Amino acid sequence: MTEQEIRTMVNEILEEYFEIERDKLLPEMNIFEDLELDSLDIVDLVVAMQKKFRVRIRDDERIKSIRTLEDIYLFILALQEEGVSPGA
Amino acid sequence: MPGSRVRHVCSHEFTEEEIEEAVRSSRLLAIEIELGPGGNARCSSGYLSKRSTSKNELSRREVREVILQARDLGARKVSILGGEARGYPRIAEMIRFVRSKGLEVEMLANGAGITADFARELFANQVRVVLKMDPSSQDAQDVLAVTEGRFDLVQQGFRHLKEAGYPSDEAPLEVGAEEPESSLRGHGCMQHKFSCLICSQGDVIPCVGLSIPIGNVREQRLYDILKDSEVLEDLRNYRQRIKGPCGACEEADTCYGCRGAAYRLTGDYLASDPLCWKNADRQNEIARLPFPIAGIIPQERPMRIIDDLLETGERSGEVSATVSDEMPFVDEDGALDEAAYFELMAQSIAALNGFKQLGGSESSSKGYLVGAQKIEILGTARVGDTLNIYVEKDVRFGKFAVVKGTVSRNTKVLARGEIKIWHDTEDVRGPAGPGD
Repeated sequence: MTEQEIRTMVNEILEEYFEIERDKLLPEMNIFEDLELDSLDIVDLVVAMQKKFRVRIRDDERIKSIRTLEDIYLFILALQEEGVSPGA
Repeated sequence: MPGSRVRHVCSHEFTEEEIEEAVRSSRLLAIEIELGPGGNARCSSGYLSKRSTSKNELSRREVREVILQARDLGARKVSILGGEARGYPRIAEMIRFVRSKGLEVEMLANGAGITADFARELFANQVRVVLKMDPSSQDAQDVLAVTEGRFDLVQQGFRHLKEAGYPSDEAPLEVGAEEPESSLRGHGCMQHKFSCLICSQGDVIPCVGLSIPIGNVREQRLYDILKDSEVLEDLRNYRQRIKGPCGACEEADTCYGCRGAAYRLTGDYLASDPLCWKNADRQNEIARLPFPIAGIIPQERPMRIIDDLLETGERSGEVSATVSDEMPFVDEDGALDEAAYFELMAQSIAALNGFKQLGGSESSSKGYLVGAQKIEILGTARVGDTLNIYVEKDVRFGKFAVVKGTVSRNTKVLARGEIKIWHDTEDVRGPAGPGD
């Protein structure tokens, strides 16, 4: 999976599950302040990413450090490089 | 040799130090793999053959792949199980493959399919053969194989093994009869610390007795299955989670009883071993399913609207509830309000967690229902209906958990969906598993 594919799929999650408009999905956007996700939404985000990317994220500590959309892209990319994702 | 107990699964040739190191580094020492759905006899102790069919078996490529995954996790031995592995296509090729990767091979057989050529192949590859055979009488052997006339074939297979060179230091042979109900490991087993069993269709189960599927190798890597399994996590933390007398036994450091016996006889893999001689007079201290829920969740009647815990599984369970007119969610027409479905699911998952902690040393955490989604309401429950609620933990993240639930009346699904639970604790469950 290429980096661009990961970005596209993450954006699809945010559009589909959270109904965030595409033009707001910029890498520098803070997911809490700009995209208005809350802690309950993060749980849904984790669920959606697990299903979309066929990974198990569970208690990965790096989730707690995610602040921007770019952080999410890099997190999924890191999982792929670690061989966590069977879709990689 | 005759009459000695047959060990179906990996015998403990691993040292205590090796086992402890495997546990510390969350790796495997061995795997068991079921090749072939049944066998050339309906074996009375062919536990796996009873649950498998010939449909959708793992391909040879898939079998090789999972063996390589197990090797990468540290496995040094592959035990081949099944009704009669000799009937598996190109079994000799598979054995040579395993050996070429540096792993030892152990094979359970009833002997009937062991030709002279196959026996030589086994010997050449230094396969440890575990032969189910009762040489005492033809009737006994036929009973063991559940097929009249197998005695001669089994004897012939044994003869072929001897002629091929068995037993030797490099190619051991173990022979013995097995009691019909004893395809289970016994005292001091603890093989779940370093082994697992891959069934012919890809399900991974802890062992032949504890047959709860914890994942499927077609859907996940073996590493992830073992890492994510709550059943295996419970077994690794057995000192805190075993219920009843086994938890306080003076030998608990090295023994947790037979988890397979506990599961098969009580429905609870964390129950004390009902077959252990030490528990012979303590059967009333061993919890069995179905288990009454009163007391294992905080709610009391009428707010408690579930009745019995029926089954437990890998992060899942099933509960029963009978709708009564005392329930707060029932209207004057006797219909159960749709909102009750969420509460049924929430209380069911609470019951599952509460039951696991029953009698253990860990304290339970309070959970709060904080959301619901993907809800489908397909029918209405009414006073007098007996409902079955199936719940499955889908995701855990920090203090949150997402639980999938289904509420059914007989075979009709009345509601399904996901609920979100927030736990009042530092962590929902600590991580454990390979690589942690």
